[in-house]
Amino acid sequence: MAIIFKFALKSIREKKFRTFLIIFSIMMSSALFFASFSMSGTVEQMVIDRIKKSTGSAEIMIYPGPKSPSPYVNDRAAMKIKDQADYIIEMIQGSALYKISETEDLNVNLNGYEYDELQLMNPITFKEESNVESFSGRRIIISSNMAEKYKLELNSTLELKIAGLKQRFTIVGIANPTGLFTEDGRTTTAVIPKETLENLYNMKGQATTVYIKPKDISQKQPLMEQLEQLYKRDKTAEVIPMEDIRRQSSTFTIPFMMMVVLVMSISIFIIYTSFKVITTEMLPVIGTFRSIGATRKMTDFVLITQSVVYGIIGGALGCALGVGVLYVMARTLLGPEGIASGFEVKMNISAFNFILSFGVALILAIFSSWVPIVKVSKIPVKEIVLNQIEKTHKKKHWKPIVGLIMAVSVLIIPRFIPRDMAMMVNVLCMILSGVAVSFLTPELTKGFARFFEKAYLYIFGNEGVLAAQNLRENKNMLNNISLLAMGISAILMINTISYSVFKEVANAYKDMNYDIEVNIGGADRQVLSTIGRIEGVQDVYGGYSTYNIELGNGKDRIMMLAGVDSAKFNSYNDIGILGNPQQEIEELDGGRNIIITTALKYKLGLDIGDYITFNMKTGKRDYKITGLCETINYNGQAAFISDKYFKKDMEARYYTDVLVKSEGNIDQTVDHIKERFRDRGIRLITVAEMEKSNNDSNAALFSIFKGFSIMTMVIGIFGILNNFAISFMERKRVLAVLRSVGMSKGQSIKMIMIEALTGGFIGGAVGIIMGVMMISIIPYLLKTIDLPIDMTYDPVLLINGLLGGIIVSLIASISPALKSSKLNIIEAIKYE
Amino acid sequence: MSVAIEAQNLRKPFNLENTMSIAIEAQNLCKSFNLGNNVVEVLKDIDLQINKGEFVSIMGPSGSGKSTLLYLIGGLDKPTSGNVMINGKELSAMKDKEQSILRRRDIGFVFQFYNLVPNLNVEENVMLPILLDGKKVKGHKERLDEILELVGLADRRKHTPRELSGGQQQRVAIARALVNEPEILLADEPIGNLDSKTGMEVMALLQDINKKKAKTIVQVTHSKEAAEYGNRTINVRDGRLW
Repeated sequence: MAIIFKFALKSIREKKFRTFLIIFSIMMSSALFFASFSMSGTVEQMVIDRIKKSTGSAEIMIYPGPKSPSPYVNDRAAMKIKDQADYIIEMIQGSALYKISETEDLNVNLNGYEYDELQLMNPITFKEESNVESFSGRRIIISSNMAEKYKLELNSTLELKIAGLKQRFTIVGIANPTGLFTEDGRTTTAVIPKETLENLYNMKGQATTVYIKPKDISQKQPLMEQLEQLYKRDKTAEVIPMEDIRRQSSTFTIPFMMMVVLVMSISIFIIYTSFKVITTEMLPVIGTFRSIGATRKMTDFVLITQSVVYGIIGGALGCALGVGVLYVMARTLLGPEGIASGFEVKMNISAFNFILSFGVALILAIFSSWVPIVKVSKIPVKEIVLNQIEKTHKKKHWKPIVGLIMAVSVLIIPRFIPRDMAMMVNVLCMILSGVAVSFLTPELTKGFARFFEKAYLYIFGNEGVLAAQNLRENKNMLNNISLLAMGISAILMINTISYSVFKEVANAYKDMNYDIEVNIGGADRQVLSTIGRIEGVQDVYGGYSTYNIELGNGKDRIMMLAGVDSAKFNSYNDIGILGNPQQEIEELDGGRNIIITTALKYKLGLDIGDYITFNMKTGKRDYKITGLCETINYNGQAAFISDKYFKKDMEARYYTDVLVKSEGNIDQTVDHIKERFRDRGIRLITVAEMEKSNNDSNAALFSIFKGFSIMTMVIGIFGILNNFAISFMERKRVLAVLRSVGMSKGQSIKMIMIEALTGGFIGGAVGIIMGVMMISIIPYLLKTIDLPIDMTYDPVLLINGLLGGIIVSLIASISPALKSSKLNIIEAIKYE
Repeated sequence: MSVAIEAQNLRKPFNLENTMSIAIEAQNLCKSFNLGNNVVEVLKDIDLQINKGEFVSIMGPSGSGKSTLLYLIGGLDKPTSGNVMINGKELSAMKDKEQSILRRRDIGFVFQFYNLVPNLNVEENVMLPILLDGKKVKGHKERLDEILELVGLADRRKHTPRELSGGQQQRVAIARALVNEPEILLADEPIGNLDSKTGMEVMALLQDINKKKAKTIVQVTHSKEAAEYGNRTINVRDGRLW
């Protein structure tokens, strides 16, 4: 027993490349699983950190809601639960402008806090301070970044424009860029005494938010319920909306997990094929030991131990690598701006994640090696000892038929699945599409080989014909084709999704027939007409919108509801209205009518003629669906009503969407508008800037996915290298036979290279078929996470898939081709 | 039939008269292997002539060097010293490509374990030398039919090796060896893996080919019965001819 065990461990040590390959694939699978599994927790942690930077230890917040009688709240009602709270703190959120130069202003988030209260809730650490404890009157705390950037010193005077008026403050504290003073690269934060800000905004005894920290955190929910009763018309909410964060982060994890499934499929394939070789190699030793009394269990145990050893090493390395992968993923998501703004990558890793990933590695190793081990175990000792093992090659005629049925099913089923089952069924369809293609691969290869046999006669001569003939029923080549197909389909899928998203985003911005979006408080007709008269402005549009509006059922929300001006809307936006766009838009003015996106139609299960109810400022309002559109703006979670009814139902006084068409140079027009509204804290963004920012944030996410898909391919490439090496060993005899009947070294190299070229081509082609099948399911899958994106195929990607397959295959065949020319013919032929 | 010449008496230079009727000639042929630090001399100073149309059996105990001799004659291995002439052409002077062409056109090999290409059917296996010679398969259909008829496998042409018995597989190997009409057929234990009845059938086939087609056949065998199908026997022992 110990000897067989020793033999198993020796074979792990001796077969270095195979050991590396198995451990590498287990390690990558477990690392990517670890990273993907921990990603949601890490994203949650990062979101929580972001929120906590401004809210510190507060747990509950109260702020004015749509039904609030005023835009302010105060802590008077909350004082009734004072004994249950560690603190109840009022704050005022304001804004100010700091004049950097004659042409440029800096937006400052101005927070009004009582100093002691702020230190209790979200303590500030100071780089420099001067008697900051007596924080009252015209005193201000600024960030060290602001101080350094604009050369502001302690005890110097800072002039800010607040509500249009210049105000002077004395800098009494320069805070470290942490917590409240963490910057996002665009704005900076300053704190002044709450009372001072109350006076400046003329809101004596009021606040914009009340923060509460319960004494007993387990009593948060009952406390919130009490507060909801006390602040019936205002909003009581958790500072950290864990449920929302969890929902969003889990949506985020799904695509990563799908990539992990793909990586694991390749790993299973590699471990399975490697163990087939391992068991074949160990067969004589197993036979010998079985013949002298070792039981079947004993020999099985040795083989299983070998797979467990691989699992343990791969799992341990995978967990360590997983931490690194997770860090890179989190850092990529945070982006350079986030890092520069002082946000840290905080990984949320629990011991459970490590144990689970390690367990996944072990299961992967044991599960993948199980079938070859059991097969060897079933061979009678006599057959092993006498080397009489029957190599049965039963043709499994059912496989291509089942494969074809599966392939057709996965193309049809996603179209008819109801939303509540869609996610699960679509993921299953994606896995099945891989299984279907692998079932069809032998037949597809046979078909391709038959075609190439004829074509190669004219291209490569008889060596080409031989190479094509060798592809038939060549198990190693079929393995290579499957590995290539999996790798290429993964890369193709990710790149196609990425390409489609960027294309859709580009199209969405193309549909915006204006140049600049203006964000200005109190935008009324007067403001609109002023903008219209500014030099460079061709036309201006005013519309209304509200975000994350609640539906009547109190559960669902939609991302954006717009109140549109039917006369101008279509000339500013092409939202892909089905039917006659102008007629549909004008119909909105005829009553409480609404146009929704087809994505919303699918999500809410509604159609034209149905009613949709919103919780609006004036109460529940029913809107009749009169039209559909196909915009992907706001991820397709958008709806459009007439501005007339928006103003009425949402009690909107000012335009929220001020859109400008520029006559000439857009940047100059931006400067002119900025100049005209300097005093009003105006913010402008051009459509080009919006597109760039959108693409940048998508690019971060896709760079991670691409990393995953490349890893999938890398594992696949190693698998292919191994297969070529195994294939050469197994084919030594056949190659020697060919040499004995007159094949020259040159012909041998030529034949192997043509085989590789053809195998690569078929692998690429099967990969494209597999990729296209999976990609066809993606839009349905994305719909379930409210992303209505159609897939656009890039022919360049498809060609690259084919070329990639050929190149990988050719490179992997160089070594076997050269070895074949140095083959010892007699040795290879003589010994069975 | 040419007169069989005693191999050990052939220590004389090549001459034109001899080479005209000689199919295979070996002179001072030596082959040694390195086994660890030891040099093992497998063949020692062999001189040998085999005339065209002869059916020679090489016999000897295991490890005597008989198979090595056959492989050296067939150009599958290189001698440590000495020469091999096939139809008057010196093997050691040839490049790999020339040797390959020789194996394709002038020599046919039959092995103990048949050595067929498993994923090719009977037809395709038989046509391998034609393919390797750059010839069109279509132009050799008649030849294929003829050869399959000769080996009695006309009705098995679309079968793959694993669908055939041992004897049938060896017949495919013989057909493959003969398809390019080589003058010489080299067989290494051609019936070593067959039962005696099938073995004798295969031997009868080889004898038939030798007589009807006038092919020079050299076989390595352990079996005296098989050797009797030939018209001369050469004994090898400890790397020398006896």
